[in-house]
Amino acid sequence: MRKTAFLLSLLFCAASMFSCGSAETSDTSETSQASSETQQPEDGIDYDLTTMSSTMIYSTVSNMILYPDVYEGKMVKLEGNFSVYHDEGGDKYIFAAIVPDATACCQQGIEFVLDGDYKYPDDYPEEGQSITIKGAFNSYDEYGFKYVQLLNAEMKVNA
Amino acid sequence: MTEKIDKLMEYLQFPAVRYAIIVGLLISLCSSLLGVTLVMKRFSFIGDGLSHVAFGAMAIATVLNVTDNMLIIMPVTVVSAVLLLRTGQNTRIKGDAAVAMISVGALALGYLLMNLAPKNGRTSANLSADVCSTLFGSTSILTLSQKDVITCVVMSAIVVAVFFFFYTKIFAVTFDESFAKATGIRSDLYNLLIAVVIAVIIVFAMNFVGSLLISALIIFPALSAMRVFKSFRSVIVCSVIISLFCASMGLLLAILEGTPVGSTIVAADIAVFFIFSIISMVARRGEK
Repeated sequence: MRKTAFLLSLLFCAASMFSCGSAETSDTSETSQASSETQQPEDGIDYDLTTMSSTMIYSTVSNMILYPDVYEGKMVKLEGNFSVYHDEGGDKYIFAAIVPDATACCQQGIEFVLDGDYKYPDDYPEEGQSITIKGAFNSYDEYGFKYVQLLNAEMKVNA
Repeated sequence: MTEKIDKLMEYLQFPAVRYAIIVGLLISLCSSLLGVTLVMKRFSFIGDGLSHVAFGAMAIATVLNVTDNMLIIMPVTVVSAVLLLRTGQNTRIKGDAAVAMISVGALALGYLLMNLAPKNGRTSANLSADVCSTLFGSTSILTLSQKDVITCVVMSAIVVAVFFFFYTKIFAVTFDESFAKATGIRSDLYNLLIAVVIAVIIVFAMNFVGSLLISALIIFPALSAMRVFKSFRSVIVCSVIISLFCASMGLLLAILEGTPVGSTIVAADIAVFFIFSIISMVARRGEK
């Protein structure tokens, strides 16, 4: 039995080396980054969330919020529900694409800034309307917190 | 089918998915090893109580803005496990009441504290996603960092090593504690060891299936195995196989079909339990 335990412990050590070893040890925050050699970007998109299952979409958005450095500058395309917040402190509108989880009990979103001169509410859809957003991932600090957004974004309102 | 396999291969390129599979299998292995002992000692519900305590501890860590919340969650859960298992030894009703009291109390206080968490400056705090993920394990397993994986691998190795090194003692304490005591085994010490190991498993399993569903991960594989097998060793081996199978199937299905991870794994466990119950019924009729 002790031999078995010893062998199993060795197995775990080997598994830890294989699973978390060499190629990925440089940065603990690369959790959700797909390896660039195998990921086939379409039309300059690095992360196309519109082709993923709802669980994968939600977890990828979570990873983007948790580990923004990994996604910095990457082109992201995602589908979500349009939402707008009024930032009292900065007196500005913040637009976001909201993504629900598999059971739709929880939701989170990514802020976007459209490329061009758009005025709210004339140039934006109604809240809750399904939209597809494509933009460059960026993170910034405000009020002592880190926020993520898609810059130079293109918005398509879905039927 | 080929399309699904291609999609799965695409998802496997994401380190988050690979980490989820590794951690998921390790948690399933550990929980199934101890599951048999817990079921036989009639502590099936302790997983629920401890996971709620872990949730409450996580809320405290969030309110205190502790970067590494494990520093609070782990000791609080371990202490609670020790207290619960020790209370449970005295009188059964008191033990049940203690589990229920700590379980709901920690859950309620945890949720209350989460809502008192620091506001994020721009808007009011929105921690509903964290709460949902922590309670039901919707996606938190898919947001692990490399550090989380390494911690889980090390802790799992310790849990497995402890189980195998003390296998005979755990076996004795599980079946007949009084007899074990009479033969000179320090049952209190081994109960304490079991409590600590369970707490460690619970804390890690919270990421996998969520704190409301942890009990399923502990009891279903053990109960399914007990339907068909009778010896302690065969039940444990079968329980481990069932647990690993259900975890991997549930996880892959959730990723592919977009279902919540925790409940999909538990659904797989329930399905296997019914299959094993039917096998057991058929086998008993065959014997008659």
